[in-house]
Amino acid sequence: MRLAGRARAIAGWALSSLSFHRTRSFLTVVALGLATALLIATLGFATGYKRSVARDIAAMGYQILVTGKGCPHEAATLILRGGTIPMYLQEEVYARILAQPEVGDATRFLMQSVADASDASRQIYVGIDGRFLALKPDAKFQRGGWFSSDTAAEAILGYNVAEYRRLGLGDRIRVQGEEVSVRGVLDRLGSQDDGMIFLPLGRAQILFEKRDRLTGIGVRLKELDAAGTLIDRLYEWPSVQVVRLAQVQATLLTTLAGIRALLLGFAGLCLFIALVGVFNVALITASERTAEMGVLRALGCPRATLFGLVWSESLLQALGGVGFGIVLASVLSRSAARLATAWLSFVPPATDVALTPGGVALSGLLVVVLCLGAAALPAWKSSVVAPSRVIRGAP
Amino acid sequence: MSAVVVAVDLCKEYKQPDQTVIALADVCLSVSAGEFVALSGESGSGKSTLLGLLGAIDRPTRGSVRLLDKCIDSAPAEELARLRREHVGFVFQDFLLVRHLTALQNVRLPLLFSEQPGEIGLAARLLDRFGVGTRARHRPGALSRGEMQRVALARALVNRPQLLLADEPTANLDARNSQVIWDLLEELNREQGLTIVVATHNPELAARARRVIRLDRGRLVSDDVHT
Repeated sequence: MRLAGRARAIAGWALSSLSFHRTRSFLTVVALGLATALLIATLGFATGYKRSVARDIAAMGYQILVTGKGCPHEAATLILRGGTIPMYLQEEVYARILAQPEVGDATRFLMQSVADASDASRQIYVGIDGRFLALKPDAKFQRGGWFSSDTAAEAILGYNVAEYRRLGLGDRIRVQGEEVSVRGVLDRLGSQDDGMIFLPLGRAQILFEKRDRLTGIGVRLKELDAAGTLIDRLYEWPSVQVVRLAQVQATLLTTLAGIRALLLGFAGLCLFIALVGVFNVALITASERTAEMGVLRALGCPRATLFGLVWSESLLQALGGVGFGIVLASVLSRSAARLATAWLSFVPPATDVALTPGGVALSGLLVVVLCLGAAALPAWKSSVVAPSRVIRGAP
Repeated sequence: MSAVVVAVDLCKEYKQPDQTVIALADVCLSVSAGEFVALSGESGSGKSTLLGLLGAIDRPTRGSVRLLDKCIDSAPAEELARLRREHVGFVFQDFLLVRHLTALQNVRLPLLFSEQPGEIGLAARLLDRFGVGTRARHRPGALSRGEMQRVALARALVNRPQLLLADEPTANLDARNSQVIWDLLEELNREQGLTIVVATHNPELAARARRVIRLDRGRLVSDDVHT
């Protein structure tokens, strides 16, 4: 109880001192808060990005992507993001793939990106076959259902498309100059699919003049262990590129690692500047309050307590900065995610700054520990002030 | 009566780059329990230096000090700090109150680092007794000089010291406030038997003390006891 009382008294002292030097304390807390927020946001964005990439890839429902010749990773990224890939597979490849013993299921698709005449945005159209939605673990219709045939002038809308364009069942939209009617609307998936318009594969090949052409084939394996065998075999086929989505995920995360290092470096620089501020403020405090420290020593204050008094001011500033940083990171997380998005080639749509308790605690702890480290020397200088400083005339 | 503090051949020198300043030379004295001693002398005569040495704030260059039967010459700094916080009260000429604390917090300050369980109400009672109870929540900047010195006096007494050392406590006060502070010191000595050593360059106030020690240029030149 006595210890708790003393700790309360020391905290009261520190608070009183900090509030006495309001501007100085406020600026220090703000600087620490900004550095903390940046640190939390960087770590949080990396976590959020990893989760989103993993979720998007899992949402595709297949483990291997077969595309036409070219860079398979670029193709995979484009397919994840949505876009036109200027390399195609022949339809007949699909039948050959289905015949492979390792293949459990497979789906064909043709993806095209078309500029919207009304604004600068682009709309992604995907021609799909009957297995496309069946492979997606979470896909289900919010309204309506599957196409009446493979060449029907019909469309299934991603959730966001229906929402933003206020389209419902039976509404008609124009695709490549032809009207198609809305046959179904998918429930929200939290992936790129929410922003896509799906067409029957046969109709899409006609509309985009890509008869017998496919952008890709998604393959679900019977056994994951068989991936290597299948990929080795498919490498022998002409005009075919194969990539494991796990590899795409790794590639995307490698890109993220670079960005994260850059952001962490920036956060580290901000933190360093804030810590220099803490050190400076504590040093100024120590030098301008020499008389005060001398009085405390003259009154019998032990060095350790004096050290603790000065240190506790920095501790409170650090805790204030961390608290402010957490609030700031929460408030600005969306903006931070948008900023980081500008530097990355692919960011899943639902990527946010994931403020995990672990990440927040780690960032907070780091700031507090570094802050206490920065204040240690000034606190020590305060604690060794000679009590004789209070005697008039003493040099 | 037992001696509270005994000084033998005390010398204090301050080494400057170009010379050595002798602040105190061969001072011997003994202060018994319950005494009220005035240290008088001109500015620079060594009064403050002597108080610092008697109160274990500073160490002598030569000689020795026994405070409450303990030889403090070679005691570690933390042991001296313990002695000060448990047995000695200090009042300084410039009050030396902590600017960011209220009057009450300033008075409670010594309890913050005392191992003994402090009496939490004592600080407020002392402020009331010294007529500044209504100013307890004010910071030093909002107090008059007289009020600040009374707060400083309350702070010196909150740890129930056996020895009170006051360094020119009235030097920065007007005549009325000087009178109030001196009256309080006499009252503490008379009613509680508190041992008090006060440095003052005011001969009239010094004459009110039962014992007056006069210093001149660091030397003890007289030690008179009035009956």
